Amino acid sequence: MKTIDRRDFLKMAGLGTAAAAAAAAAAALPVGGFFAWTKKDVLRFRAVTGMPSAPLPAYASYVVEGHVDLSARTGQLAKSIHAGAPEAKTGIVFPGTARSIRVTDVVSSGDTVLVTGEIANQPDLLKGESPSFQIQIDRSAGLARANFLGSEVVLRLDE
Amino acid sequence: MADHLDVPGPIAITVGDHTAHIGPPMGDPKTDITDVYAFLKPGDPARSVLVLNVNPLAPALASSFDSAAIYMINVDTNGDAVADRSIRIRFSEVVDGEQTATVHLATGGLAARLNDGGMAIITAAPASFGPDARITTRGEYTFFAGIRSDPFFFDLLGFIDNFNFGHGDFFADKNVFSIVLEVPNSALGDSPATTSLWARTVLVQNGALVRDDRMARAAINTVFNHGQDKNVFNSIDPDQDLTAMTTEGITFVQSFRNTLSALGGKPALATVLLPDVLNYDFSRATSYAALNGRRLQDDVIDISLSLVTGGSLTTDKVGPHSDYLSEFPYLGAPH
Repeated sequence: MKTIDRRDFLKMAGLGTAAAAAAAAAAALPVGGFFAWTKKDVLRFRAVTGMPSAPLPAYASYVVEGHVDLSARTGQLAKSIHAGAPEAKTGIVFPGTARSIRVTDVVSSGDTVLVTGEIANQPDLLKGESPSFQIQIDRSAGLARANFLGSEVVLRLDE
Repeated sequence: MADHLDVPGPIAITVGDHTAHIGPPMGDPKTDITDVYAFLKPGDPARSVLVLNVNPLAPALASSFDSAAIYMINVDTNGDAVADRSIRIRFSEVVDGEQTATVHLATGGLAARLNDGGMAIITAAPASFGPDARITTRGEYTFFAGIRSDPFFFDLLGFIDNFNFGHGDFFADKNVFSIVLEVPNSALGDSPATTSLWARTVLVQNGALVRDDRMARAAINTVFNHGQDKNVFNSIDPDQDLTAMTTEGITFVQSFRNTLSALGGKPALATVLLPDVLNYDFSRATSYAALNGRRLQDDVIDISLSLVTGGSLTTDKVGPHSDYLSEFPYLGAPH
């Protein structure tokens, strides 16, 4: 078994400065479940889906994670494409796919939270990737909807 | 990804207080086979070049070969998907940043069994961890092991994006650890029409040899096997491919048929793809499209897309790299 320290991990993942910030934001998440209130009105979450879609086996995972403050309508998210299916929880980020997202608005209605943001490292955008970002979190369904390179995909909220 | 990062085995990745475990139960990137090639030596059809690549995204995930592993290129000469010849490569531990390799050639019953025996054909060959290729020649054999430019080309992000190609060649600036052997064709037996080969990595664990990864044709395990079935597939040998069962209780053949049907391909192709071996008739020109070996420049993805989708998809819109060499070790210098 091999353990890679954080510096090596970032190097391994080929991350740039903004993406490193994104990874750091994710790393700063408290331990003990991915979807939770860390304090009043602050929601942290991790949403993931396998790519490509069935019938092919998931070769990679699209991961969106971070925290939002519903009162202050702020927060910090990270999105990235990881090697392996969601259940593998690999942590290996495909080089060039990690993004740090600055949250610009948060709207909550019942069990639904709509988070809007802007990608920090915009010069590195992939084909079909928008500089803006939205994710709609449905807490009762345990699902989220977000854009993936131009298409809407449904992600599962990790508990 | 021919088989890049379809890794056999968990690696603990620690970020801050978080540790993630990647992959199936055993290996690590050092033994994660990415691609296998077999082609006639350009200008000399009496000799063959065999390539076994491991360690995707090298050297980011691993910076040496695994000294506790056996890297194998298995050769079946009579069409029964059992190894009749086996080239076994082992590496020393890293000492002062250096590793050396020993290559054995096993034949007959020894080749079919899981072991590291055989006649030594290369000894004390230094691995190359820099831009210069350190090449070892012993008798009729020429050998290289070390970091090189990954010859594989594929729009990986387009694949992940549900075949929405146009993102470009993900592997254009990536490296792998490559093992390259140039051998006389006679080393592969004397029945070229029924010869095939596959790569296998084996780990030495608690004194026992354990099958780790295997690969022949491009992307078979990646495209057709789900979840734990990837590990099951890696743990069996090609002669079991037609009868072994998946974790869903159906044969791999039936599982392949189901996937082919869903993608628009012909279900009957399952028994062409299985057993998973790379047919290599060294008396004929090498061509992956003709199911005969694999050259570095063969567009295995375009060929595979056409087959598995019944022609509805024919290309990922990327082509061969421009850094292949015209002479040994044929793979370009590392990026």
